[in-house]
Amino acid sequence: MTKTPLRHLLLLVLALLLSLLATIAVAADDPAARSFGILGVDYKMTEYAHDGQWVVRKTKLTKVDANSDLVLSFEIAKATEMRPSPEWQLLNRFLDTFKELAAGRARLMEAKIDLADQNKVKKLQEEVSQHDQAVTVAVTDLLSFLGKSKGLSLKEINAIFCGTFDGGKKECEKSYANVSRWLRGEIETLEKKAAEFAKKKGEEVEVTVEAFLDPVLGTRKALHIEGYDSLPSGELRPIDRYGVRLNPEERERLAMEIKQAEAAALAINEFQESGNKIQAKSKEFLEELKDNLRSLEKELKEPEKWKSLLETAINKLDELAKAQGTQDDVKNAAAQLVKALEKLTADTQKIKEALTQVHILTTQTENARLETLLLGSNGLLDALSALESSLTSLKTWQEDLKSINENIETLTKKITKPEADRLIPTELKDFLTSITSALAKQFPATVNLVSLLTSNLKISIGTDTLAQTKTELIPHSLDDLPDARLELARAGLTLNDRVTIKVRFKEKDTDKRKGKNIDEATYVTEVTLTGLHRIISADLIFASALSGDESARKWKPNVAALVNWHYTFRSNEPSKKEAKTPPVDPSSGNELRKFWNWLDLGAGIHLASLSQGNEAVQFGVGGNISLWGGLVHGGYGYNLSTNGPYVFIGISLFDVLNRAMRVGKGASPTQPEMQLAR
Amino acid sequence: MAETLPPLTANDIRGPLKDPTFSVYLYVGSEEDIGWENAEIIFGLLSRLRTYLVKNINLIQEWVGTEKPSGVVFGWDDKVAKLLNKEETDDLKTVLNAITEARKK
Repeated sequence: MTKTPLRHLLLLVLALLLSLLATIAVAADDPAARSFGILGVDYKMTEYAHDGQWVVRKTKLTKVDANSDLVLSFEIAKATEMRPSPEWQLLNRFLDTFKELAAGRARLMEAKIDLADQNKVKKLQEEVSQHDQAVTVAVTDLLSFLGKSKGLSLKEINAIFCGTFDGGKKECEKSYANVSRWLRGEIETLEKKAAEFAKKKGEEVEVTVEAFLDPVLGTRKALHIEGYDSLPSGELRPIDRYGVRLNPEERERLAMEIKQAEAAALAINEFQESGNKIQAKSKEFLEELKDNLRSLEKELKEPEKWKSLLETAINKLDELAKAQGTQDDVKNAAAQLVKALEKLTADTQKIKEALTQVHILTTQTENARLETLLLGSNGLLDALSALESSLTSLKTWQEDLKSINENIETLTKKITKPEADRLIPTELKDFLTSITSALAKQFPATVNLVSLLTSNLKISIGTDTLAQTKTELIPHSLDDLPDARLELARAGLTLNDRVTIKVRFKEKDTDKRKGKNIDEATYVTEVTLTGLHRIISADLIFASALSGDESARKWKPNVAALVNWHYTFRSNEPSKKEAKTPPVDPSSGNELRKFWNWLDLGAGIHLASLSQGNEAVQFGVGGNISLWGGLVHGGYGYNLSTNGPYVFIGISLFDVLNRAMRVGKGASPTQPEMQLAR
Repeated sequence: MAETLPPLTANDIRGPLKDPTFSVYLYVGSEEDIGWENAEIIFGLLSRLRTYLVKNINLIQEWVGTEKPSGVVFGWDDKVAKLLNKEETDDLKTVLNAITEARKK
């Protein structure tokens, strides 16, 4: 019998725990749940697409539809929605609890029981006991809060229960009403303080929103967000969802894919036909580059020596330019020469840096494997980028040297020969003449060679150019925060491009100090097409005729342009319940959809160039299936020249390279590429 | 208005003590005591509790005998569940716990 109340108590505790967990779960799952920060502002990103409205989270890379609008919306908290402090939340919890307990007491007090009915009496006693337990827990918590957190004395606490805390009449038996009145007063005070704080902050804070496009081709560029920057809005160029119409960016990408596939097919053919000739050619090219760089290094081998010669000459010429009694035209010529030589001296530092790069390149490329040579640390790609940058910055160097030689000539005409020899030693003169002549041939050739090689190897790395992407942002104050809308159809996109949106809350700059950052968030998205859509690509294929001679049946490298239709399920949550397709939550069920998205199976048609007979140009058409979003293809077709069937397997080199580069660059917290299956 | 002994007598509290749907708490002292304040607060918080202010302890001798308690706690019947001293009746939490424990039985 004595165990019954204990069982009820346990059940009560369990129910409370479950209800707490449910509340937490609902808050975590509900995409519309608001979370007002210290500024009393909540913001969320929504994708408005053809298939509904979808949540874009700031914590993970989100795939968004290429023709959708990304909208960052802001909501200013009402006083009642603000959570100024944990104390505010606690007081509200107390208020709710005490309201419930008061209602429970009233219900139990009104219960009319037939005293002769033992069962009913027993049941009422049990209910009262349960209510007692809940009151004990609530009062113990409140007493602890009032005593420990608020530091109130017993007298002050009793004043709250008895209603005299605000000068009211002493009515201790109205304890629920009195405590609730006190709690409401405290909550109001806190809300008032929070509203004042938010208003004050609102006047001091500015909000900026900016967006960037990291294309698979080219470098990072800023995108226009209506009302938040002064960039032009761009032309409307949506990606055709089902048909084969290409926007300019897709056309450019397809051309690049075809070029890559053709180059690869040609290289494989050449390699098959000419054995290791291709290797020799690559080596030749690298040797030519090395020779040029070594010559340049040789010309400049003693920079310290001529640097000191230059400095001595500058000092002497400067004295001449400033000396009293020197004719004006001599003074001017000397001053000009000083200026030109000083610039030349400053450039010596840059030359030294270029030489360091030359050294890395000429020592590390010996016997290196292609992969290491290209992509390894200090590999050719990195070294050439740095060298190109150093050399490009010295492009005026030749003209500077020419101008120095002319100035020397002008000056020597105006002064005596011994004086000219004293000012500019023959050694320096000879050096300047020889280097000018040598560099006239060597320098442009080297710069061009390096540029050519670099541009052939370089694949856009957006972050490198971030610093160059300057946008004039229009900051907004907290009381004027319109939706920030980015229309992807105007952004000039192609599939797999990435779009990054940054929102920043910052204190306004004052005359005395620069405002500090208060809060910022970054949304990273990858452009794709969702639902039923097409993917157009060009592949390196290996095709084999199913009829004809042995040569025709051989697997040969060729190029094919393909269009495949795929269906992709959404992986982000709908922001509204009416969204058409349910989301794929990577952490829970829906495994089939998840697997389907990973496999990304498609089917379509192709046009291929073939080499299965004597004709120089052969074409084939047919059907194909596609896996992993177009990474790998397999198909069957009909050769229009030989009138015979063929089969092929193909691979998108562009896709492979793009994926390799993204994996190679590493995944930042906001770019967890490896979590995503295409 | 507090129910006080006197003018009420022991006879007046026998009836409520016999009611199994109510329990009783007696505070021995005066209206100004913090112990009586606590009794009133608890009366407001808990359901089905009757509280009496006993100004003359002799009136409740049949329940406390020769003891001089400051509070007398009953459960659902007319048996004394617990006697509280002055220090205990001055503590709201202690009184609350004593009454709720008595009503568990």
